[in-house]
Amino acid sequence: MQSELNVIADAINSVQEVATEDVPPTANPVPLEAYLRPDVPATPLTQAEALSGAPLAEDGMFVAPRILGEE
Amino acid sequence: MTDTNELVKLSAVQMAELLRKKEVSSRDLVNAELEVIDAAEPTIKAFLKVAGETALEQADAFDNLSDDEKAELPELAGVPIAIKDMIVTKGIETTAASRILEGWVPPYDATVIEKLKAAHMPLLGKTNLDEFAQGSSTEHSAFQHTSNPWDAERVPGGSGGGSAAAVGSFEAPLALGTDTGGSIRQPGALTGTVGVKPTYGGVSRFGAIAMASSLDQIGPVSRTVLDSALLQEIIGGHDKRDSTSIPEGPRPMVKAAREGMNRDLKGMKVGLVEELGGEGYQPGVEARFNEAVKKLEEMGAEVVKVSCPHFKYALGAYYIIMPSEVSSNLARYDGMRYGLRVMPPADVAQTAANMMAYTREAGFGDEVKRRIILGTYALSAGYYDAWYGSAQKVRTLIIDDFKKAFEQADVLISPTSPSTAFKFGEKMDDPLAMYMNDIATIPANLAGVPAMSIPSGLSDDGLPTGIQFIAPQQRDEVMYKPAAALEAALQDEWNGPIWQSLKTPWLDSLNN
Repeated sequence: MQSELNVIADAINSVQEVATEDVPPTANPVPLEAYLRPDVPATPLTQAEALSGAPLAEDGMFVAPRILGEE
Repeated sequence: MTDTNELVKLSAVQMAELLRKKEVSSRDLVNAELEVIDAAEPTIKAFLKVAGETALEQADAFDNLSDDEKAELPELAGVPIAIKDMIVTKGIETTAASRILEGWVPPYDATVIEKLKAAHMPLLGKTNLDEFAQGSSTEHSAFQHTSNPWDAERVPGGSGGGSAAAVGSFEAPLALGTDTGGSIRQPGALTGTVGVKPTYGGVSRFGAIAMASSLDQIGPVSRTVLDSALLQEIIGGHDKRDSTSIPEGPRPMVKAAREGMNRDLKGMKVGLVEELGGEGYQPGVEARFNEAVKKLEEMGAEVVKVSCPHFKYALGAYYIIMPSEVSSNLARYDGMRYGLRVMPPADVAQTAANMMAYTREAGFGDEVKRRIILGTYALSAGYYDAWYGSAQKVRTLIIDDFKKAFEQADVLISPTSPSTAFKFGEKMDDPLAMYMNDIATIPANLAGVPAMSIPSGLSDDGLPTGIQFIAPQQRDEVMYKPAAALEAALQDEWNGPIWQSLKTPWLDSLNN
């Protein structure tokens, strides 16, 4: 995989040829003004629905492995 | 009309017409497509999941409506559709063709699925794709290889190879795809079908599994231009759940497509993009393209050459922006709330971090890992400005190229894909060769402009070729008119649609 990644990296280095100081960057190609959605109540997922895909659940909560490594 | 073989070859518009005349029911249509799916799937393998029972229930729900209720629905109501497995469907397993989502049944519908359900269009099932839509051949699916209906030893393109193959083999009259760098249009070209990438923000992405959020767009797959126009008007429009959704409603695309069918393009200026052609394009692809250009001229269009000098940097910019956004988006697959969880072996600390590492190692395929590595690197401190920052600047230059081109022409054209369908395995060891498949389709994603591919004929190898139409942002109707005109002119010359030349042994077995 390393040699493949190098080949791709070379190909994408070319963009620096034209990306000069005076060119502004584009994040979203269709710029929109930020707006607030109407403040209307909506029904979110139920707890059971939200947990329906959990690898492990207990008492209505996701169960995660411990965060720290010490015994 | 009860002959399955005839029924499934109709366009969606023709099926809808039979529904209105009560010559068939929606249940008849779904049953016919399910028969074809049964017969074709052993070879085509376009579907990851067939949802026959729920499709029949949805068909019955339509059939039971009163005439008045039906009259209120969109024109394609009651016509079945297949869904790329990159779009979430409540109650139907959704995997993005990845082991990491295997078995996941979403608790909610994508906005486009809600709209299809409101239009009473039965969902036939979920179609195959490259894992997380990353690829151009559908070979990167974790589950199966989809065959091209034109040659079972060749790929259907990608990432939406399943949707294109399903529509191309008559397993469905319509499908939805997602297009980040060409994943709707390139499979369209390789399978002789129509594929449309709408303006960025024209169709809600809520419920489309995120790949590269500033490029992704859901769009129609069909066998005719008019069918795509009708479908895009159904799925398009504003959605408050997608912050990039355009506030204005869908453009008048159906009207434009119907106008185009009159084959009068007088007053229209068509721009040939000089940078998208020539070296690297198969002679057969170019020959069919040049003939299509002549047809456009014969219908009154004025063809001008336009230059987009920064397109040569599009592939490089795309392969910075796309993996960067992929690496960020796919971080959500952490084995915590849904999807695969693989715990480390007993001699390794049973921590959350180790669980994530083992889960991702087992759950992601090579191409997805390659892009996450590239993207993480491109976004890392010290490289961000040189790579991601530069790529965003190239994006501005490409948008400017399009702006200048659209000052000279109403619509732009190019071949969709440089080659016809290639054989399985041919490009799997050479990522860069695989990436070149999207050389002509990527600029539209970077600039957010709408683009579509329609069949332009058959190359010397007997395989379909595609021509791409590109229109200005938020003016999707502009490409539908010449596309529909060209489709009509070519079908006139061929004495029928391109699929007349397609051998369909799976349909022959249905005759009795």
